[in-house]
Amino acid sequence: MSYAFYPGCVIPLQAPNYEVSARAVMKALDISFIDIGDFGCCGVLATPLDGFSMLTFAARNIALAEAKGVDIIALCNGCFGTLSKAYHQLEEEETRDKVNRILKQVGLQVQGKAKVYHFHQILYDKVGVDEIKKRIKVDMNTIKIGCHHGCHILKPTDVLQYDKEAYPQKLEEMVSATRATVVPPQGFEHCCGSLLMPHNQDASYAFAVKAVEQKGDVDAIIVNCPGCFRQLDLGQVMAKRKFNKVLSTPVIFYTQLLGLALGIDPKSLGLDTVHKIRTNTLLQKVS
Amino acid sequence: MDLRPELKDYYGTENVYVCYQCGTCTGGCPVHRYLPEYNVRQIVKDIIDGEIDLSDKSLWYCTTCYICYERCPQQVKPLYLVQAATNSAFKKGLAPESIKEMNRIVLKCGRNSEITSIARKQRKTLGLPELKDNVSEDYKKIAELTGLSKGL
Repeated sequence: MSYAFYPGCVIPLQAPNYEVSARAVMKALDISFIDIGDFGCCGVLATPLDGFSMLTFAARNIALAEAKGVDIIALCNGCFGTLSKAYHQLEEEETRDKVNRILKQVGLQVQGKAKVYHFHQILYDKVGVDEIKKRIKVDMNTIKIGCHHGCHILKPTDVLQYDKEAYPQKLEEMVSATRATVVPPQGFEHCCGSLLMPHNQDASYAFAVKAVEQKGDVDAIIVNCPGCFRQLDLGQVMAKRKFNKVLSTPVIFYTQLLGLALGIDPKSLGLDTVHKIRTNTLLQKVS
Repeated sequence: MDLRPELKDYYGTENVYVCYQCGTCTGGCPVHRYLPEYNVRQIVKDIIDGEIDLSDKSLWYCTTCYICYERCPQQVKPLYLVQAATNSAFKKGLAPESIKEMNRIVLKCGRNSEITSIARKQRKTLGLPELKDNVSEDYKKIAELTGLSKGL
């Protein structure tokens, strides 16, 4: 079974550390995938202006995967949420016909056959926690991890059907599989505040700071989404300027933690690229 | 303004009238904690009463965290009612310039931003595949057909 690798548009430009580590982990775990060069924005940015345009942009990407006969692996929570919502809406024939009348003009048709997965679903449901445990070469038992799930990998639960809305556990299980210690958060704050940025910067960063503070004393915070990554990483730099708070917890993607545990070298996982909060302290603890 | 006649055109708004104003949505809303002027319960009430103010800037503050959607005891899906309001505001020329600009960029290059020289360099260093400057003309064509371009 091969998949279409869907990095979306934020990851390739603003979180190449996620893309490079995801590719490395997929290779190490023998998950076969293809790149589709015409994949673009999932459509999420059109949501507040025109829900139907969001749906049609998303359907265009689903149609491209369908034409190749493959399902989609999304890395970004936002893309996963948008494409999944579109997939759900496209199950209705009337909606699908309406979308197809437009897609026809760009030479595409969507049937709603290409399924949409978040990469974590593939890791949890297809690879499995037991198999991950078997593949671990470097023990992560020296580090403590806080998990930041983000919103659109979980909710809406009736559409995404991945994990629970409150107290989700699958990411925690996958972190534990590397033998790292999972530290439960002191509070309930899964929203990074990313989408508030165009309207109110201070409030947006306040979300991010709260999310970081709630993770407590950990060596790294795990994220699964480039929006959450930017907020929690850059947000700690901004915390000094805006709220006179000193925060310096490295923020990494699960694929980077797993990559380290699989024995892949930190440079090939992008651990020295993009990160505003440097990952040195974490890497020292691991080695 | 009275949004009720338009609601059928917007996804997920069918349960609006069973709202009994318990305020669970606003209670769980992370935006409300920082910006109290954003009040989901009030937005739903104003829609039901046929007097929603589409020029209110706070309508756009929703971060789409879906907490209101998950916790509403009546499955009103308040988040989709907020989106119906912003979609309608856009049609009336009331969308914020920042959101419109982001969409103009998507139509131009198929991504949320254009490729910077730093991003190109980082990708090369990491051995990642090269990217096309512009993903596809499809976004522009689709937006013309759906009417999105007209409002931008």
